[in-house]
Amino acid sequence: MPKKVMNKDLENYLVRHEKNPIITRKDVPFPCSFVFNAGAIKYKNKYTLLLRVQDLHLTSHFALATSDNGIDFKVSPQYAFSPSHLEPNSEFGVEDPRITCIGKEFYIPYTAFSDQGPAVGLAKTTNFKRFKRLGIILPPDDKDAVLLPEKIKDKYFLYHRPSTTKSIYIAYSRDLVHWGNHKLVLKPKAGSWDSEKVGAGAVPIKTDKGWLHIYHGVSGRSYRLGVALFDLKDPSILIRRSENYILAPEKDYEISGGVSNVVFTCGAIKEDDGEVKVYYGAADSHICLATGRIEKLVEMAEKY
Amino acid sequence: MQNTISPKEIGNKIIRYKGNPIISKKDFPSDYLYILNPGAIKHNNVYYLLLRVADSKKISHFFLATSKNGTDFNVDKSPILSPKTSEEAKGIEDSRITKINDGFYITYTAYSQKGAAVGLLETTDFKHFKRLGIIFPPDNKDVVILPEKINGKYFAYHRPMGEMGKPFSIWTSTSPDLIHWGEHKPVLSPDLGSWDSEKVGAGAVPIKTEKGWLHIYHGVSDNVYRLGVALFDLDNPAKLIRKSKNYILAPEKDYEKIGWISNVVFTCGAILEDNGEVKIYYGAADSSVCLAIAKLQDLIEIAEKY
Repeated sequence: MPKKVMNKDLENYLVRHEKNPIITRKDVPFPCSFVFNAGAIKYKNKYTLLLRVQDLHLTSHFALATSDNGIDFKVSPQYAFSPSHLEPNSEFGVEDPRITCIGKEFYIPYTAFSDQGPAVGLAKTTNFKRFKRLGIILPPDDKDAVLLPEKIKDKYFLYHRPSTTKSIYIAYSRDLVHWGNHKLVLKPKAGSWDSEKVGAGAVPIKTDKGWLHIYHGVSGRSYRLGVALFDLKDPSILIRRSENYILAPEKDYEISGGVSNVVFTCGAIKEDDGEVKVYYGAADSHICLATGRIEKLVEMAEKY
Repeated sequence: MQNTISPKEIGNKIIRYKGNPIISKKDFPSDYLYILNPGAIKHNNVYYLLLRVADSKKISHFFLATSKNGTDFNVDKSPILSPKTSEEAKGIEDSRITKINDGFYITYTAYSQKGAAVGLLETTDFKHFKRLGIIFPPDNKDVVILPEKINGKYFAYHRPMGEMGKPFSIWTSTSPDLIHWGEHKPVLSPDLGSWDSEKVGAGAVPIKTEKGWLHIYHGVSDNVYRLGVALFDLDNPAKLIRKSKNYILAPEKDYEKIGWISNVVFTCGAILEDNGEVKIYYGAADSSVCLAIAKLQDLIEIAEKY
C-alpha cells in the first residue's frame, strides 16, 4: 500500500529557483502587461522559450527568449508570432504555445482565440524566426494541446482539452494537420487537487516507465501541477496519475497577479543528467522555474 | 433576371405532405416515446430513413425505415443500432447519411456525460455498421459530409459549441480519409435580429447544383427551430455564396408546435429526385417524422435572392 508523502517530502520533488520569477515584464524590451506560460525547448545548446506576452490591449502574442544556462534569459526586441489577418480565428490573441521537435522542425500547437472561442492552431518553424501556419487543428472550445515528439505505429498523438469536458482527450493523425479518433484519457477526480478541470501541461517526456506528463489541475480556483504516466506503446492508456500535486501556488508571485493562484506549465526540459527544468507561468504574470529529477517525478506518478 | 417567386410566395414553395406526420409513436412498441430527425438517402429505388428513436429513459437509438415511394415507410421492429461505447452512454442521435463510392458514411451525435461528440459509421448494406471513432470531440453536433472529394479533400460542415456562450456557427473542415479532420474554419454565423439569430447548424447533406452546394440548415431564434437555405461555392465549399434572409419552413402545425421539444422543425436529410423535386424529411417537435416537398430551382432561388 503506497504511503502518502508528507508535505515536507513534496517540497523536494520540485524546487523553485532562487531567482524566481526568472522573467517578468521588466525583462521584455517593449511595453507589455504580463509575460507567462512559455513553450520551452533546448535547441542548438540554447534554452529557447516562446513566451506568451500580453500587450497593452491584453491581446497575447509570442516573444522569443533565449539563454545559455536555462536561468538567465534575453527576450528578443519584437514579437515572434502574433495574431494574423491571414488566419482570422485568432484575432483575440495567440496563447499558451507548446513546442515539439519532430525531425528538424518545431511544431507548436497554441490557443487561437477569437469571437468563436478558444480553438487550437498549429504553427511550424525551423528557426523560431519564420513560422508557417497550418490552420486550426481543433475547433472551439479546445485548449492545452501537446504533441508527442515521435510517431507510434505510424501515427502522431496529440493530447488536448475540449473545454466543456474539463478533461484530457487524445487524438491521432498521420499528417499533423488532420486529427481524429478522439478519446477521453484523464478526467477530474472528485475531492482531489484536480477535481474541477485538468489539462495537458508540458510536452510529455519519454521515460522507460512511460510518457511522463506534467499537467495542471484546478480545484477551488487554484491551478496546481501534477504528474501522470501514459503507456509508451499506446499513449491513450493512462498508467497512473499522482494523487498529490507537485507544485501549488505558495509564493507571492504565484498567489497574486493577472490571474491569482496559478502555476501553469507549457514546457519542461529534461537534461542529460536527469534534471528536469519546469518552466511555468506564475499568476498569469511572470515566468518561473522549478527543477526536479526525472526519476523522482516518475516515482511520484507511480506511487504517490 | 425576372424573379419567379414573390416574397409572399416563399411559404407556398415548400409544401407539407398531406399525410404528415409520416412516422410517429404509433408505428413503434409502446416503450419508445419519440421518433425524430432521420438521416435519408435513396439507393436502388429504395428510400432509407435512419430514425432517431428515444426510449423510455430518453436514450436515443437508430431504427431503419424503408419505402418504395418515399411516403409510406416500413419501420423495423427493433433498433438497428443502439448505444455501445462510453462516448454513446446517453444515446446516439441525428444521423446524416452520405454515399461515397460504394459505402454509406453516417455522422451522428454520440452523447455521454462528457457532452455531445460526433461519431462516424460506415455501412454498405444498412445491416452491418462499423464504428470509425469520434471525429469531432465535445461539444460538437450537426455534421454533414459532402459526397465527393474537392481538390483532393473531403469536406464536412459541423457546429462546435463552446462553454462561454460564443456564437453557435457552422464550421467547415477537410479530411484526406474521412477519419482525420483539420483546416477548421467558421463559415456561417447567426444573423442578429433574424430567424437564425441564436444558433445555426447544418441540416440535410448538401445537394450539388449548378449554382453551388445547396444547404438546408436550421436556425434558432427565441427557442424556435426553423429551416433556411444557403449556397456554398462548388469548388471551394468553405466559401459561403449566400444564405436566405427568409426561412423556408417554421413550426406552424400542431405536430410541429407541441412535443418533446416544442416549436421545432429540424432536418437531417433531403432527397433530390430526378425530376427536380426535393423531399425534405424533418423531425417535428422532436416527436414525429414529417415530409415537406419543394422544387430544387425554388430552393436555389430563395438562397440566391430572398
